Amino acid sequence: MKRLLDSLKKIVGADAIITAASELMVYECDGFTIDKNRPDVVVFPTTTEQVSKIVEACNYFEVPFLPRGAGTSLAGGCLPVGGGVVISLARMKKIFDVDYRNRCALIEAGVVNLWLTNHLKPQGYHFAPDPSSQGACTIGGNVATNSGGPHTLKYGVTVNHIMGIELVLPDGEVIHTGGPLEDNPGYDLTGVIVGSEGTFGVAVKSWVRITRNPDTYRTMLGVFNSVDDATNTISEIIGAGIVPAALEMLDQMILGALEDAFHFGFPLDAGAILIMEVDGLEAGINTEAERITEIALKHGAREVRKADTEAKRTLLWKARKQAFGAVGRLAPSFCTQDGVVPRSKLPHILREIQRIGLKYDLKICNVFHAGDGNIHPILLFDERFPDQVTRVLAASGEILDECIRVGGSVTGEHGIGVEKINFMSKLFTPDDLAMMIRLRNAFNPTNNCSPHKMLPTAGACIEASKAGRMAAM
Amino acid sequence: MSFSDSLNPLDGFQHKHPSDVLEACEIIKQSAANLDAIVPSGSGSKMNIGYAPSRKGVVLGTKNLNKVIDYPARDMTVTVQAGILIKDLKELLGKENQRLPIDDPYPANSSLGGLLATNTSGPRRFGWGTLRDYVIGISILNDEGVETKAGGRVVKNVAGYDFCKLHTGALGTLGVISQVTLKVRPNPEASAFLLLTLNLANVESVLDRIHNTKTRPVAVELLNKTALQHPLFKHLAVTSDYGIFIGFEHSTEAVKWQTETLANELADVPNSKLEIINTPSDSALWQALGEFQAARISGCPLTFKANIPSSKVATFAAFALDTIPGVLLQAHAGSGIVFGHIPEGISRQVAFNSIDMLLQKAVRYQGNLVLPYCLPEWKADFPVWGQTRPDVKVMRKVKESLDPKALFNPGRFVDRI
Repeated sequence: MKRLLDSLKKIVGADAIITAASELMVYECDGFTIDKNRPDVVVFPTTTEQVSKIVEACNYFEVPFLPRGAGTSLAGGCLPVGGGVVISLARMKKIFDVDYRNRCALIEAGVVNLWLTNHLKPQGYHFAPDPSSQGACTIGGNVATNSGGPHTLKYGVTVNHIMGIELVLPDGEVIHTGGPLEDNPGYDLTGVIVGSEGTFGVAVKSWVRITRNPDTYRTMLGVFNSVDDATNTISEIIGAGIVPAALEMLDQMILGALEDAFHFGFPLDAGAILIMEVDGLEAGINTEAERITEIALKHGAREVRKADTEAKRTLLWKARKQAFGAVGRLAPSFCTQDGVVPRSKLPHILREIQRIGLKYDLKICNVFHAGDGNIHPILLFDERFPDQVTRVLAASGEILDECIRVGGSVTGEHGIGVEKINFMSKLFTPDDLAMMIRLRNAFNPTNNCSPHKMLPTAGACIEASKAGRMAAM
Repeated sequence: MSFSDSLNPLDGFQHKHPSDVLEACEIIKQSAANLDAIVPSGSGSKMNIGYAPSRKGVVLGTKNLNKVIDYPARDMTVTVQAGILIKDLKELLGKENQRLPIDDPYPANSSLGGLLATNTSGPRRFGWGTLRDYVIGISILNDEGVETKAGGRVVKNVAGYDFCKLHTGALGTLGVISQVTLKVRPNPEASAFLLLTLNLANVESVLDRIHNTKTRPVAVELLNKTALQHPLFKHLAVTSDYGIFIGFEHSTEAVKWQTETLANELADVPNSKLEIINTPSDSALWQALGEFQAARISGCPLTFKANIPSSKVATFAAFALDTIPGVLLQAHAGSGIVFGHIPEGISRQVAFNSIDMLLQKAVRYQGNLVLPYCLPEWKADFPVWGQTRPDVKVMRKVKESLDPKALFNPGRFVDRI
């Protein structure tokens, strides 16, 4: 390790390396805090060339490595299983070139999602994927996990907005896939690198598509007495052929925490609320908003409020996007799940979540991307009590199993990471997984880059020893 | 043995049309054992794309794999077998007032699998995206004759690698697409075009203005005079250098506002004529604009497709006209895609030199130029897949990893993968 450290110092300088145990603690996990493992070293390159040399050095000394953005991911994608080198891209934060005429931009991986949108704002553009963590998460992390967010219902997820990638392959070679233009001949490597959770190499730069801001919004708050009424309304809106910009559900428990934190004026006696937003041109938008309002009222909304000023809309979205921060008011620990169901199964899965909560004597609150069928049940507990941890793990597993049973998935936007690695064999057959391993081997034949991620065979000894814990959280 | 591109590329192939997936898998297993090439084919409408296969084998037709597996219309997804014809898929979705907003030149004769393998798109790509934005689940018959899947049936899903993207546009070189799950969209309430006919001198500035319009077009199609004389468009009686069709699909109110607003924005273009054409989204004009890029022009030896920056479309079109007088041009101008049909009578050498000049121009713009159609006897020398990109090294590794025996469409795709 000392020889590797000497090499790394030569590449990036001593001030771009962390080795002290106290400082490494920050890098022992991401937003998935159940499993932790300290890396041996964290290195902060500032150029692609440095990343390439770091990767070569790691390979030479046979030390595993993995990239890391802001560490906001929620499935252990940044967890350095088995130690090794964390390549932090936090210092690679340049926005090189924004081409408004051709609607694309070249940026480095460490650029924070919201910085990019703020950068584009004066010209009337934004970067469409808007994960709730957008104030902190990086574009590189968005690329790794194929992040979503509330507005992906209309605008698509990260992969729909990534046109090309500069990738340092696991052997240190630098390649460019795609680019600023569409329809490059050959395989869509960009499309398959996005969402590969760092297992295909280190994505250091991206060509991203930039999107014109809508002229106007209509943001409404549907207030429902029951979760059932709210989920039925979601199903009816989508079924009516309306594609809102966002359709988010919050239940009573989370509303209480949010009201304490943001003082928005949420109706605390409501069983659930729906944030329903349409956007686009001024022409026709009132008709669309009225159609949604009618559907909500017809399906049990006791009222539909309008967030009719920019200040109200901003506060509403701030409350929604920081909902997870407010959960600390409800319990000392929480576990967020990321299941997906066909949209018409939302009423069913929400009832199941309630049933599972009662079965395991756990409080579960819900705040999620309802329009996409992407649920985020938040299981509340206190990690100081092992029995509670056990029950949370069991309940989480049961919720995700039910998502699979009704034709859904165990992750809509957080990724598999290490957290859901054991669910892969429930979603996919051994033959399906074998093809994924073959694809990974095309990029990463030694599996020295981001080992033990996504695919269950990646590090059988490690996962097997902790299968129960990792499977559910 | 190696095939000559001057022969019918599929002469000597066995043609098999399995009745189900199991039978298709058996054919693959047999072919793999014999190291025979496997050429996946839907309806066969796009078989002229790419080089001839580098060895003989089996054409595996998927026309009987055309079942609708699941259509939960309220979830706005549909799962079908890949051999389904686009027209049948349209009809199915139309019953629920939904659609897949991807243009196919010949919906009556093309299959979904073929559409996907060739990543076909058309005018609507500017507003509605391309197939990579709609495929959420895929099943593939792999090199071992096993059906494997990736993705799923829900609209948001990041479990596992995204093979949907990898197979879209892979020309069937990584396996046979057997089943697909798509996101679908509601049909728009209304649709219309603004047709602006104008002189060459003003095309660039007008395209810039359309880029900055207050409206939100879903298609911006630029056609030159020669193209507009084709039977598909002749009834429009355009006599100017160019015609720009700006398409809108939205609510009735929004379409009306947009056509009127854009007409006002463009009212001062010199020597131009504006016409609003209210026409449904399944009209002959939409179909013609989707079809023309793949139209077989009598005597046309090749069709090129360039991908360049949207801002360079007017310059590139003018350069193409200078280089190849009489070329029939259509650009999906908002997306930077330019198609050109080379007119009858051009010699092989002149065509070769001209295509090389256009290719170099596109490459200078960080783009490329490929030949979706080319006389088979010309293919050996012509840059059918444009200039090879450096990332082809990784593409080769992907191919070798997923199809180590090079069974699927050997030699047909980029760099003769």
